[in-house]
Formats: sequence, structure tokens, C-alpha cells
Amino acid sequence: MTVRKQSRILMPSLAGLSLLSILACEADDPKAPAQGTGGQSGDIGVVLDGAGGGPGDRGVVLDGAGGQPVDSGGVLDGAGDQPPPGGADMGPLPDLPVPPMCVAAATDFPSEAWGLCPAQDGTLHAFEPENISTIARIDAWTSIAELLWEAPAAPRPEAFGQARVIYAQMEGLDSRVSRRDDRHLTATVPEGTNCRDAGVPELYPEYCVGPGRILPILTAAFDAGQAGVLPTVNAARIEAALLWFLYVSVYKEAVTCTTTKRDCDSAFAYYTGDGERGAPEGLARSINAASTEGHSRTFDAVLAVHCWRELDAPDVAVDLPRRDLALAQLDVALDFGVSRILTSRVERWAAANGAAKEADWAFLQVLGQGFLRAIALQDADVAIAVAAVLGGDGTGVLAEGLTGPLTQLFPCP
Amino acid sequence: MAYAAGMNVHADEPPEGPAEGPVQHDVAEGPVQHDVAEGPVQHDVADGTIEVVAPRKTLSPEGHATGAITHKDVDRELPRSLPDALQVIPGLWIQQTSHGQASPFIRGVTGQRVLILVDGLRLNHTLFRQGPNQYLFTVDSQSIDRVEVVRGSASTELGADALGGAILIRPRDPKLDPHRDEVIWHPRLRFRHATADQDTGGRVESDLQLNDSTAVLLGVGYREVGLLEASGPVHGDGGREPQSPCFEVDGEVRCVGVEGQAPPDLGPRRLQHGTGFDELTADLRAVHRLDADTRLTAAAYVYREFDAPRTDLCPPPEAPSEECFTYTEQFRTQAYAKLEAGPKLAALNRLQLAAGYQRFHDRYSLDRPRSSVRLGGRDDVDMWEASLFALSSRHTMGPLALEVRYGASLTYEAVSSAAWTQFTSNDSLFFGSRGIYVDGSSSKHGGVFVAPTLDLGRDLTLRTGTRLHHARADSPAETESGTTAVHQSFTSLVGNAGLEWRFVSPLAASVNVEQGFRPPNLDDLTSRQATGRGYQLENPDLRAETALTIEAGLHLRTRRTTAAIWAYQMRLTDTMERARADCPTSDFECRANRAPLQLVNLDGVSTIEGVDAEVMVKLPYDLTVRAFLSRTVGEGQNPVEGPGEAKRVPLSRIPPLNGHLDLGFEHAESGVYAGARYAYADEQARLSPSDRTDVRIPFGGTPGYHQVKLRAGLRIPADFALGLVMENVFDSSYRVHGSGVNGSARGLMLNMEVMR
Repeated sequence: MTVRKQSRILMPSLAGLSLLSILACEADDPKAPAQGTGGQSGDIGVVLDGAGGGPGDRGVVLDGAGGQPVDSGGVLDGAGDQPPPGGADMGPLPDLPVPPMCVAAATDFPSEAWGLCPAQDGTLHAFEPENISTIARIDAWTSIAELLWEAPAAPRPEAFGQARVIYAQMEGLDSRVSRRDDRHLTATVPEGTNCRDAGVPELYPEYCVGPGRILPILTAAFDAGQAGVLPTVNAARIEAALLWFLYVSVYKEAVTCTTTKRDCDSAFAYYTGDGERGAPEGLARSINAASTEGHSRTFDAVLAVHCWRELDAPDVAVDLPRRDLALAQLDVALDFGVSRILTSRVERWAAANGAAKEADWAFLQVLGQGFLRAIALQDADVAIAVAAVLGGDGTGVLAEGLTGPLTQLFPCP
Repeated sequence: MAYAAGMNVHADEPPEGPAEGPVQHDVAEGPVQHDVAEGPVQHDVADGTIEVVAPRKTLSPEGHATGAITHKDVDRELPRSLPDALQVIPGLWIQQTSHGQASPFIRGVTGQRVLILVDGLRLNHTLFRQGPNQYLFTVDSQSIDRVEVVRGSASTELGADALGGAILIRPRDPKLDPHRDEVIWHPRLRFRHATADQDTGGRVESDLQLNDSTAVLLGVGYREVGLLEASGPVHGDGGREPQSPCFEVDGEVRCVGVEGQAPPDLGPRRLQHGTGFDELTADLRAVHRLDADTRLTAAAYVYREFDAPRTDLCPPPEAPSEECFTYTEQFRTQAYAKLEAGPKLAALNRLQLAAGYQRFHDRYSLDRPRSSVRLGGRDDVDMWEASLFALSSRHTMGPLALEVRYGASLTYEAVSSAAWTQFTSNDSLFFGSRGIYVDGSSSKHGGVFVAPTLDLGRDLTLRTGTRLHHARADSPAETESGTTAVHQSFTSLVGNAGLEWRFVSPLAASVNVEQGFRPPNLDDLTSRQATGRGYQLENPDLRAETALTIEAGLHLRTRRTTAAIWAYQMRLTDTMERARADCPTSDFECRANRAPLQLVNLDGVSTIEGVDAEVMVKLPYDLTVRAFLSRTVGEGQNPVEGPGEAKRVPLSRIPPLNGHLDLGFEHAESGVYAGARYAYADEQARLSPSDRTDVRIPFGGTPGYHQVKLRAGLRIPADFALGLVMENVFDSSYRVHGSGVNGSARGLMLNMEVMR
């Protein structure tokens, strides 16, 4: 035995093991981007493309009109620019009264026709009060609002970054946006269509409204905001996209409450968080700001859904006529509420100028897009006309051209 | 096949003839395991080469129910992992949350309640989660010589966490012949393939004796494992399917919804999405023999697992099918030195002293491509540990004989943790204020034990022992997340007593009473994480949980037959169990989860009771029959209070009635072997409240199953080996209760080796 012979065998082995250890090193943690920008987004603009925009395109998509880019300039790099006024400086939204001829239908909740249910006392009696995770998502919405569209000044890129982190949290808003479907359109897709499945949102973007329509708007707006591009405009887009999400979510949860009772709790929470009638959150806050009566009626409508399930106790609902009554009331109230949000925003847009005007128009484009289905249900021709208007940059548009149809088609909650 | 039945194994007692003196059961046909030097012994190593090393005696506590596998079993059964290899041990139940993870249940408990030791050093670390974890998977099955499983509490001799039992891993040694002062090289090349998951890989090994006192074993392995094919989904009540796993059909991911209804017109679903991984292993073990009684061992083990999805979160329930939670890196690195000596002093006849370093590294990522979001994180724990196991000489006084085992252990662990959110659409990155754990947390624990064994004549043995253990956990406050500081100490004093009565040859009976304990670790005290059942929030006020196990066994041992039956009851006090939590206002993730949870100490006593029965009979014509049956029932206080809620409910993930029947043939001269194993598990419908919401458990419970596995091969020492296994012969769909993946479809496994 010689040392040389030992070494001939041993040394390559040890060298091999050492090499292996080096190759199998732990990866480094990702490196944080430079302070202030939150990323290297470059020139990410949000583009309206009514002509050629496919479902997979990033950016806001409006069908039916030849959209034009509406953003120009306005890049904040987070260093020295003086930001334009934020949402809080854009002026209050007008509270639009309900016309006096509006009278609740005899079948509307609350009424004696509904019988005795806990919701008759005008408050939520949750089926699983400890288990309403939606409330946290509405709280997240509130936090995002404070960072972006309710901020005292135009949000800086860091604020967009912070807001996006809140938005993207596990089980947070993004987790639901990315799979949300519009239960109004169930009949338009093949049975068993599941928006979870890859490729399905691209096939059915209207039904898979979350991933198909809302998510691209949010992604593009967050990207742009983080890059310092048109902060108020992109904050407004995010606000409108999230309201759109809440609008479809209230109805979706009300429908799926047929088989999962706790979804009625979620329907309520998607409307107003854990808020009482007098302390609305989320969508309710926005509707209330535009129409207190509209909020009150929508609050009644989500309670109607709850009352139906309180009376229809089996795990899977059997009293479908009562359900449909509740859903119809909810539909009317929600549509009225969202129409009032749009109407009041149109009026503010008409009175605004500069960045605030651009932001309001961006808001209208996004939420208006989400409301086209409801408009089309009332009058398809009006929907096409509204889409055409919203597809433009607002130049030459008269406020009455938008508020008129909205008031006409959605007169009462 | 060589799993040991009955009680713990002794090196110095061949498995022949009726028991004389203390019962020393061993039906193992592989190399006998022993860890404390006791004088030269010769025995066969796995490939048949004669190995002469300083022998060691088992460090497992005596008088307990044990079982074991050896490297030889691994060579014949071709398991996918070390936990997979342990399935043949009575009383052991292997749950798999994912294809690349597996967690052993002993007597109905797992995770933090099962202690794993590698060469006497703890594998358990302070980040072991409540419930199943993946860490046993990080021990390469090709690097082990023997794994012994102690069933029942063994905290007195082995330390904290051994509530349900312990797994004692003995790595392979290099071959060392002290009579040959020359260089002897035994290279080995191994190739492996399995059809069910396209598992393809191999190992290169160099077993090098440098001289008559030093030898080095070096091995490097690599494999790539693809999607695991199952025979189809399993079905719960009403034909509904569990949400985990999703299947790939024509390249597309298809999942069932919350209602458990499969999408229509899908056709056959066999490929399980969220499975597959890559694995790199390396090990180096050098042994230096100082004299006949003393030897030094230096060893290093490197385990690297890449891109192992967590099946039940790939995608998370109800999430888009493109989403997937993946452990991109799951690493273990261990290095230690060990001294085994036999001073032959009155108070110190033999000893094993080990000291080492171990690092666990997890890097994970939840990819949400639809949203351009990637939620990532990293958790590391660095462990420095030392342990001493010692044995006195045997002192006799007339019919009495006294032997004392004693030892000490000390561990320090430091934790590093981070979490971040990445947006892939613009490459932006945001770090969270804390990870799953609080960066800079640490844990220290140690203890001493003494365990005398007194033989009262030929027929009676009395065993007893006591351990004093102290643990401390420190974690800084983290204000942004509202995390409070933790500075907790836990001191435990436990003991045991056991009596063994060899009342009539070849029968013996045993009764043991053992206290076990588990102080809360940093995972319990500080973690915030999404689990399979909800979002777990820390609880800095937890107390240690303790167990009192009473067991009775009856053993039979003849030249051809070994049998044992054990009945046991474990009473857990201050049981740590997940209960509904109130989330801090600042923790959106907690509040957004439908099931915010927190570990709490349950009031009252939780009980786990059961019976394990096993038998091995050597038949003519080199045939051997082995069988076991295991039954466990557990219940505890319902952590959910309220009207309509039962006061006591089944404990979580208790395995169903299960058993194996194995018929083996092995022809020593030719090296030919063959066998068939039938595995049975009953339906498990006794579910805890959290089991009912676990997407890994089918609606109403996990259906029972019957499985048959065939094996055959040829092994010619110092030449070559060829092994074949056919798994799931009848291609039936099944799932091990609590698992997130279904068992593999019918498939072949091939193992080829050339060696010198």
C-alpha cells in the first residue's frame, strides 16, 4: 500500500464531493430594487385598444369602439416631481337623490311577505360569524384606497408598491380576482366551465370576468403606478377595477349561497365588509357616497339574500323561488348603486380639469366597461353607444350623454 | 426483507434458539445494528462482503416494541425514499402530503411527536411543524445501514419529542478489514428507474479501505422524478373527490371544486399534478479504528431536493390551476464526528460521543402567473449538537445483575427566515417584515438521563430511568407584524419503569410505563404560515405537552417463529392542537383565511390506544412469512366549543386498521430472491374537526384499500445486482389516509448495480 495509491483514489473523490457542495449551494434571496421606483417597469403605459385588443393583451380593453391612448406624459420617478392632487383633492362626489316616484316593490325585503327571519331586524346575523374571511379583503380594499385614491396627494410609486403587496397577499383580493366569474353569464358558457382552468378566461373573458377582464387592468395599472406613470389616473383605474370586482362578487356569492351557506356572509361582506348600515365599507362606501338611498336599498337587498337562506335552512337551498326573488332585488339595487357611482363620477369629471379629469375619465372607462352588461340588459343599443363613448378619451363628450342613459335605464333601486 | 419484530435488537445475541435471559428479539436478516463498542464481531454487510469493525450495541432504549429495516431491505424493496422504505415496519404509517415529502406516524402521532436521530444526533429541529413534515425525506435511503423504529414513548433515554416513538438511523459504514493493511477499493454503480413516476437516477459509490485502520465511503446520487401516475382519483362519500390532487389530462390541469364534483367528460385521470422533483445526494463517511474497542467516525451528508411542489397547494384549493406552491430548495447538510470506545471501566464500559453541525434550508415559492405574483420565502435553521450515550459494566451480585445506561445531550439552534412578494410583470420586489419565523430566533435544549437495568434472576428484568431536560426558546419582537417577543423556558423531569417476565420459554411478557414530553418549539411559539388546514398563527404562551404511555407486550421466540403483540395506551396532557384563532388586526393574511388557527394546549386528557401484532415464520425451502396488523384509536377534547359540538372528538389523522402479509424467498447461495407483499388498510372515517376540512382527506373519510406488490431479483456480491418490483399489481386507486397524493399506479421499478 502506498500513500500515492491512496491519494489517486481518495483525492478525486474528495474533490468531487467539494465540487458537488459548491454546485449545490443555496440560491441567494432575490435582490430588492432600487429605492423609490419599486421596480424597473420602464415605459409601461395603459392603453385603450378597442380595435385589436385580444383577451391576452395587457391594458384596459373596451370592446366595440376604436379606443385611443389616453395617457400622456406624467411620469413620476419618485424623486423630485411635484405630484398632482390626489383623490382626496378631486372634490366630493355628488350624492344623487332617488327620484320620488321610486317605491319599493311589494315583494322587496324587508316586508311582511318575507316572513320572520332574523335579518328582518335590519342587521346581519352571519351563519359563520367567526369565518367571514371576506371582511379582511374589504379591509385590504380600504387600505389600498387610503394609499391610492383617497391619499391626500397623488400616490408615489412606493404607495403603489405597498398597495400591490396588500392586494397580492395570500387569500387576499388578488386570489379572488384571479378566479372570479360573473354568475349573470352562466348560461353563456358550457356547463362545467371553470375559470380556474388555464385557458378558460381567454376563451370566456366576460364570464371569467376576474381573470379575463379585471386582472389585466389591475396588473397594468399597478405596473404603471409603480413606474410613476400617471399616478392619479392609475389609482383611479385600480379603484374602478376593484369596484367592478366587488360588484360581481356580491352577486356571485349570493348565487353560490344556494349550496354554501357561508357564501351569504361573503355576499354581505363583499358589499360592506363588517360594516353596519351607517358605516359602509368597500362597494357600499362608494355607493353611499353617490347615493345614500342607493346604499340603503342595496343593504336591504343583501339582507334579503340572508333572509332567504335563514328561512331556507337545508345545506342545499330548496326554496329557489324565494332565492330568485332575493337575487332580483339584489340585482336591481346593485345596478342602481353602480349606476349612481358612475353618474356622480361623470358629473365630477365634467367639472374637473387636468390630472383629476383624466383620472375620473379613466375610472369611468373601467367601471363603465364593467357595467356594460347591465346596460345592455336594459337596452343593447345604449350599451353600444356608451361603449363607444367610453372608448374615446372624453374629448367632446357631454356629461349628459352618459348620465342621461344611466338615469333613464336605472331609475330606482 | 428483514424487518425486526418484537423488542429491541442486541448485537451480541444471535437470533437463534429460545430466549435465555433477557429477551433479545431480532428477526433482522441484515447486518445487526449496534452503536456502542463492545468487542470485535464479524458480520455480513449488505453486498455480502465480510466486514470487521468495532462492534456497537444498540442505543435504543431497551424493553420497547421495535422494528427495523436494513440496507438489504432497501436494495430489495426499491423504495422511493427512506420513509417509503419504513412502510414495512409494524405500527408505522407513512403519510405523504406530496410526492417529495413523507412523514412517519408512530402509534398515531407524527411530526414533532416522533423523534428522529441520525447516529445519535437529532434530526428534529426547532422548526418541525405540528403535523406531518418532510424532513425524514432528506435522509437518502442509499446512505443508511439500518433504521430502527421504537414504538411508544422513549423520552427518558432519547429525549424530547419521543412521545409516539423514535426513529434511529444508522448510516452505512465503509468496509474495513483490520487484518488487511492495504488499499482495497469497492466501487459501486447503481441505476434506477420507475415507470409510475419516470424516476430515473443513479448513484456512484466508492468504498475505499486505505489501510488496516482507516476506510472511507463516498457516494454521490442524482435522480429526476416526474409526475406520479395514479390509478385514478379516490372517492369519498357520495362519490365526491378530494380537492387534492389535481390531475393532468392531455397536458391540462384539471381540478375538482369545493363540492368534490369532477369536471364532466374528462376521461381517465391518472397523472397527478403537483408531483415530481429532482434530488441530489452526497455522503462521505470516514472511519478510523484506533484499537479493537475504539474508533472515530467523521461523516458528512448533503441532501438537495429541487422543485418539489406541495401537492395540496398545487394549486391551492379553488385557486387558478396555474398556481403552485413549490419547495424550490429543500436542503439538509450535516457533518459530525463520533467517537465509539470501550474503556471497560466499572462505570463506563462503553460510550458513544458525537458532536456535529446540521443545517436545514427551505426555499419556497407560490407562483401565481395569472397575476404576475410570486410569494417567496426562505427558512433556515443551523443546529450545533452534541450527545453522549454510555453504558456501565454489568455488575452481578448473586442472582442480581445491574447495568446502567446514561447520557447527555445539548443542542443549540439558530433560525433565519425571510419572506417576500415579487411582481413578475415589472420585476419589483418587496420583503415582508418577517418570514414564517422571526429572523434571529434561537433555541437551546439539553438534558441528562440515567437508566438502570436490573436482572432479577433468569426470568425477570426490571428497567427504569429518569431524565431531566431543559429547553429555552428566544425570539425577538417584530413590531410591524405585531409579533411579540418570546423568552420561554421549559423544564421537564420524566421517568420510566418496565418489567419483563420470561415466564415460560419461549414466551415472555413485558409491561412498561413511560413518560414522554415535548416542549413547544419555535414553530409552535412563533410561526405564521399557511398550512393544509388554514392559517396558523403563533402562540407564545404554549406549555409543554406530556404523555404517559402504558404498554403491555407478549413475545414468542423460537428457532423458526417470532411473534409479538403489544397493547398500549398513551394519555396526552396539555396536548397541543390547532384551534380557531383571533387574528391580529394587522395580519391581513390571517384574517383573509377562512380558517385562522393557533396551537393551544387542550384541557383534559387526549388518549391514543391501540394494538400491534406481528409474526414471522421461517418455512422450509428458504421461504419466510411475515405479517402484522396495527390498530389505533385516538380522541381528545374538541377544540371547537359551542352548541351542537361534541365534547370529545377523534384526534387528527389517526391511521386506520392496517396490516401487511409478506411471503419471501431468498436463496443465499445463488443470490436469487423473490417475494410478494399484500398491504391492507381499512376505511378511516373517524375524522377530527380539522380532518373534515382538510382537502387531503376525501369527504367522509379515506376509503380502505388492498395492494399487492411483487419483487424479484438477483444479487451476486462483489459483482452485480438486478432487482425488479411491480407495484400496485391490480392497478387500483388508493390513498394513504392523510396524504395529499394518491398511491402510484401499477408500475415497474428497476434497479441495476455493478460493484466490485
